[in-house]
Amino acid sequence: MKLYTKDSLEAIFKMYFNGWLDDEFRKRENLDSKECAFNTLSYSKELLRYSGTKVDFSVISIDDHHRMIVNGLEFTTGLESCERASKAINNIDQDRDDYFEALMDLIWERDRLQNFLEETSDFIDINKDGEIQDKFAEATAESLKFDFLFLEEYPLIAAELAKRNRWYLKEAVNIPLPGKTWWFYRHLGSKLSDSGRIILAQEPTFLQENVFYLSMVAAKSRTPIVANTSFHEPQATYAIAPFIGSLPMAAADSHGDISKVALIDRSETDLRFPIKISENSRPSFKEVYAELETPLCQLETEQTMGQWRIKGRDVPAFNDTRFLLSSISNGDIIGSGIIEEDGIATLQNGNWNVLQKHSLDVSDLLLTCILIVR
Amino acid sequence: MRDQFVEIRHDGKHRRYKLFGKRNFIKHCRSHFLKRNDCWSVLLNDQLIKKADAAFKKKSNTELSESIDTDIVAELYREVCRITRHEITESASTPRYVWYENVSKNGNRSLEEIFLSSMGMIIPCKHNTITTAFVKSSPGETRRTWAIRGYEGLVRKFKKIESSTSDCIHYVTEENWVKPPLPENETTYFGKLVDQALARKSSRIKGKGI
Repeated sequence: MKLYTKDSLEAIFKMYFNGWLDDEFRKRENLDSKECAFNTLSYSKELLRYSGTKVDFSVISIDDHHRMIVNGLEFTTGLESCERASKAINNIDQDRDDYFEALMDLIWERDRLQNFLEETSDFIDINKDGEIQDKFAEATAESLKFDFLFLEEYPLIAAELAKRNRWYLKEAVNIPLPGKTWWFYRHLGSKLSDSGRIILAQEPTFLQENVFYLSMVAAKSRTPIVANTSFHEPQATYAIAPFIGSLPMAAADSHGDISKVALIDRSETDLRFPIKISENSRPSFKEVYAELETPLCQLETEQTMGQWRIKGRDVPAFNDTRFLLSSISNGDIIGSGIIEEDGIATLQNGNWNVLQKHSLDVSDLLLTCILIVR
Repeated sequence: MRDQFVEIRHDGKHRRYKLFGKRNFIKHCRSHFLKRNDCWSVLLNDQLIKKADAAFKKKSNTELSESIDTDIVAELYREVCRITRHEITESASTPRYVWYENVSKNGNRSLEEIFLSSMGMIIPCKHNTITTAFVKSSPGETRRTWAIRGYEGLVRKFKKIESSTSDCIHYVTEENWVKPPLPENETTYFGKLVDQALARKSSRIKGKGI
């Protein structure tokens, strides 16, 4: 049975929007105008994020839209989400399930606030009303305090909570950015102990965290359309492969020879280390793709090997660019390599145990690279 | 103080559930029934809360379990049971509840049921005992929001269970879980305006991340 659907979100959105607009409806349903305003704007963003439905607020006047935002901001005053989260984190006198359920409620409250802030941020930027900007800043500050509490003081709890939200990323049409919504991503880079508890392993770089985001976006993108004539003959490729190691048992068919590529212009990253992808960048997956030239295999030296030719982008754009290889379906990083000026992406390091599962079909693989344009 | 029970009809059978049990009740008094920021503070009488709260401040959980027969704690128990009984009966008759077999990490299996009332009260049951009853909202929010938070909270919990285990959740009745517990909106002028706002074609965001 399908739960959490576009229809159910629309029904909730309609009730709040109707409640904000219509005094009589609001009285009849015992709704509050500030609560309606906040939830109208928050669910508007949720509709766009989860189902791709864009709400058109031009059906109301700019003044009314402005008033709705002010009402929504008033609702956020006094939420004290950070203080309540701190109490909930320290309330350890309960079952594990009850404990995490209480925290999860706060996380979804934070998510609603995030949706509200994103929905209104453009309007706040344009509007020069100091009072509104102050209220917006207060709400943002509260959200950042909340994030700091989890990310800096309780990262293991943050990771456990994020792990519980994995289902959302598989379903959302427009995947939320990791830099803004850690509660979908914080478990990445963590490992499980023998008892199944989360242990934070070495901190993942921001790029590694983003690889998961990019791979989820890639999974939802259309597969590149490739002119069929350019395909090499897979059998021939195997014949010329200059190594003897663990070659795949069967030749790949041509449909499994294309991997996806996420190119991120260096201009869209900032220069801090680790590399941080700009929140506004969204790489294109449609025009650029990687065609497998040398099948994935393992050499006798146990080194993993594989080569792709990057297509759809001018070759001179590449200059010893490193790429990360990940699985689109789960975001795991399974290798890395280098793209040279001739557009050949060569795998240099890889986890053969995982890679061999892709050796017959590389369509679930994503090459993510920061592009240095000369 | 004698344990209270509730009998409800679901799955075509009459079933009898124990309401909380002493230890659970005392525990959940601190985490829900007497908590200032909990929706129970709106459902229970103010004076009762104040008196019970005073009794709870003086004693530990163990002491309270032993002295649960005191008038004030017994009165609180009866009142919480009355409200919970009303809500679970309403949920079972709607019907809007689920049951599933939970397999713990050590392999133990147990039947769990969760009832959701129209008000948004969530009532989980294990081994024919109602373990707690709560609303996933804050007392400052309206009853409609209580209902939505309860519904969304449970739906997300079930999505998590279904995505991470092979546990099969049985929804009773499915159509009552597909949509949130909201009144059917009349088509008013404002309703039409809202429909217009949603009339734009769905789209993926292009060029700019969200």
